[in-house]
Amino acid sequence: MLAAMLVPCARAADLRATVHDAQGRPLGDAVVIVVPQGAAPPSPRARARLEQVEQIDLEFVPHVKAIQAGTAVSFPNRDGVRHHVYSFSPAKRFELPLYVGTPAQPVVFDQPGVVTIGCNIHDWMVGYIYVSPSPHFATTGAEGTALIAGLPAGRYTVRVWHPRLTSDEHATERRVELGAAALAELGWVFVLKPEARVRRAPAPGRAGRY
Amino acid sequence: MRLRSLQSRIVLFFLALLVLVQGVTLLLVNAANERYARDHIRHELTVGEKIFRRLLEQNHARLRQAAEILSLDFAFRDAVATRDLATIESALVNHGSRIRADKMALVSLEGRVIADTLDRARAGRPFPFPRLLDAAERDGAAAGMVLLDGAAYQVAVVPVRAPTPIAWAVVGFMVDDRLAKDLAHVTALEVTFLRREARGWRAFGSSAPPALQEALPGALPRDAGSDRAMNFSLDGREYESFVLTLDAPEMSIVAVLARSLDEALAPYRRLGTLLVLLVAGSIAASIVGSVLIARGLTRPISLLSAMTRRVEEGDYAQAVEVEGPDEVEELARRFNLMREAVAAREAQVFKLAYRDPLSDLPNRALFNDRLKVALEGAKRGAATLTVLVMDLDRFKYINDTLGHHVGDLVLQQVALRIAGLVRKSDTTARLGGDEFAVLLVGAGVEEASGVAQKIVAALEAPIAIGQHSLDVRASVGIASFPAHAGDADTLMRRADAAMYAAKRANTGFAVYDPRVHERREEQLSLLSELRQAIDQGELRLVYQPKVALVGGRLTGVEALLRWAHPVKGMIPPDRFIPFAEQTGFIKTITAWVIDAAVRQGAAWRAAGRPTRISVNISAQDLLNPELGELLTAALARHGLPPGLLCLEITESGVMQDAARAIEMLKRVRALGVGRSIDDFGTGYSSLSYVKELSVDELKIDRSFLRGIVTDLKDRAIVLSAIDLAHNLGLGVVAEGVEEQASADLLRSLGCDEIQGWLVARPLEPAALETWLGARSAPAVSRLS
Repeated sequence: MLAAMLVPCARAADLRATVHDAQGRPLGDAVVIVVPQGAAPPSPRARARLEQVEQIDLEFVPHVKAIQAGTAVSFPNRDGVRHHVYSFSPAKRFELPLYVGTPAQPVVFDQPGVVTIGCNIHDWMVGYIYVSPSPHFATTGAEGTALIAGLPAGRYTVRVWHPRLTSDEHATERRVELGAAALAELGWVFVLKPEARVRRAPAPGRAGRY
Repeated sequence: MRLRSLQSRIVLFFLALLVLVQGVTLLLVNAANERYARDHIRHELTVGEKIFRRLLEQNHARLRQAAEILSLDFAFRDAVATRDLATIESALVNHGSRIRADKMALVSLEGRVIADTLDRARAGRPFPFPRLLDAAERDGAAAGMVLLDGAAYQVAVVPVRAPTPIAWAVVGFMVDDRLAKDLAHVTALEVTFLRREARGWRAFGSSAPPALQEALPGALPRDAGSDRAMNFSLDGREYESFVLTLDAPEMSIVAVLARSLDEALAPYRRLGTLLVLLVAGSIAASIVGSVLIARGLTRPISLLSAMTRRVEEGDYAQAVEVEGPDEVEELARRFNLMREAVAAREAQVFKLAYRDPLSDLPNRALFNDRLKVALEGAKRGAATLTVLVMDLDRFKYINDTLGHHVGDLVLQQVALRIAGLVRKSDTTARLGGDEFAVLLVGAGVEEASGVAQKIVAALEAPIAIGQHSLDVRASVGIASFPAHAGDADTLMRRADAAMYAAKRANTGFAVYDPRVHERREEQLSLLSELRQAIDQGELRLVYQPKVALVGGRLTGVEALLRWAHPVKGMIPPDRFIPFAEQTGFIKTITAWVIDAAVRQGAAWRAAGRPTRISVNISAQDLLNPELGELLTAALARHGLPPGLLCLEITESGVMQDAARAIEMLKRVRALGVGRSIDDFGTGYSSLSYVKELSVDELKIDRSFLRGIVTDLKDRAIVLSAIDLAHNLGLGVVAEGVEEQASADLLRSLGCDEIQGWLVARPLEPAALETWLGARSAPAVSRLS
């Protein structure tokens, strides 16, 4: 998924991040955050756009959502069953008791950090919202790359976060100096924690154990 | 130990066999039993151990599930997410109590205790069992047993998902008797949990009795090590057990699964006891059984052997009744038959031994037997008994004339006739030949005489055999106890003697008269002394002269035999000669007499007084074929002319076998020896024989001379005899002349010579010579 395009002014640099796992496979759902160095973190701008994390077929879609701090996210329930979305993450504690459709009020995430969301009645439903302090971020797709375009030249610290990252995200930081109209290519290889998802319960009516 | 008794042998054999078989069976079964029991127990333990482990696992799983559900509670997650210690603690307590947990703790993902319901002080410190956390991370949840603060807990570690794990919830359930008992109930083993302490092991939860719980810590080795089997004893009872370490790797909690061997073995031991009882019972039964059977066998055998003893002793009367096995009864039956057969044969033998087959009377053996018995009885009871001995007169004549078969029939008839005359208690027997005997018990001489008379009377009637009518007479001799003898032999002998007396006297029967028969006995003993007499020179000859009636010259002498018995004195010949004749000893005597007479004659001839000597010889001597040699030898030996020797034979002696006598006399005459007929007139001679006799003279028997003077008939006979002799050319000598009147008469009758006390008694040679000297006329031989 492409990152949001900046307003084109001076010639901007691009950064392409490529993430692989230890087996060499491209790793999706990795959030690449580019933080300008030295400068004070820009105040979070109110984003005009409303982000959303949908519940489709008893899963959070997308699994990992990266937003800038201050963004409001709505959680439309596209399923026939109700969901009880919640998060106990320090970055944002919220709870959307059982509902269908779209709750009237979206949830504003104004603290940077990782917010892990789950559904109370569907233990396997897990999603992540990465609240980025920087406006420059992108999430790798299935091919394992993310492109952050329109970066003014300058020094940046680039870090990557993934739900199964074994280390702290800051440990992944890299400093990079971007020239004008340059394309920086950065690659990371991560050893990941094993997938620890709760087994999805079979749909009622079908054979299987509960 | 040698067993002779059949009973003992049977019993002991079967007993030994049974004991052997049962003993071996018992040993084998018991060994197998024990082995099986122990195998079974071990198997039980193995199964028990598996069940225990599975139960424990299931328990853990259950705890885990309970913990998981607890950890998914929203409110709980909410509380945990607050990170507020008090809230967390109270939520832990609350939710813990929901599932009856004894302990709850919250552990951070880094392994640090956030909150602990039992021990607040633990907060902040590392969780002491990181292995559980690792296992939970690996498997999603974990459970195990841990020793914490001296208590053992089954703990479950589950992630608190919100929705991803934000912390570990630790739920602990204390291990105590309840769990142990629960497990024990299912595994059928005694479950005891022990924890390691500084001093050793300590039991903290058990289903076992207190004694066992106390004993177990001591039985465990310090290092429990890996799971293994363990045997131990408690109060003499054996236990097999399995030791499981429940909290690897700390190895501070073990479970001991124990099984009392005694309990497990009890049914087998009961079986063993039952077997022993069975063996003992069957041994007892077999003893009883075999004793009974043996007795059933040995008793009949003992009865039979008792019976054989009776049979041996001669008691054939009692049959034996035996009950028992067929074979034994058959044996008894055979024994009885045998007994009867033996009795019959013995009767037969008795009959043969003791009965005379011809007359069917008792025989001599039986008679003697009964006589002896009766004598003993009579002696004891001071009673009398009498024996009668009889024989048939001239039975030999019947046998010779009519044959033995007739003789047998006669004997049978006689037996019949006399047997009927006596009582049943008396015994009639045939002693043999024609001799019979009767034993009259309790009878005296008079009664016996009566019986004898009856016998004689019974035989008076002739016996008819075929066409013969035979007159059979018997002579009966009677001898009585205690009158005539004191023992059987003497009694029989005296009865015999009495019989002979009866026979000679022709009186039918006679009672033993000691006076009469003493002499006979005397004679018997004398006979043996006779033999000695010759050897010892006790015999001597005396000489009685014969003189001519006309002229008075000596015509010769008669040699007479005398026996100078050292004890009895002079014994005259009529006391021993008859028996010598009967026994044939006469030959020896005659030989001696002839020799002695010839010697004497030779002596006189040598002395110038040749005197003819006459020697008496018996009929036996005359008929002896060796007589001629005897005479010749004697004459030659002493050198005597035969004319100086003369032989005198009695008339009756000649007549016994007249033909041969005549022959011998001729031979004697041929030798030149003189011959005289002695006791003429008393024998059975017929006149025709007299003609044939080749003799020189006749000597008239003295019996005729007794009445010669007074009795005219006697005188006539003597005269006839003298004339007969003269007419035949024979000389006549009269013997036993004692009176002058007889001598004168004899002279007038023409007798040639006389001999007798008138002339001289028989004289010893020396005395004769003296007598001769007193007379003048020398002796001249008639025949020169």
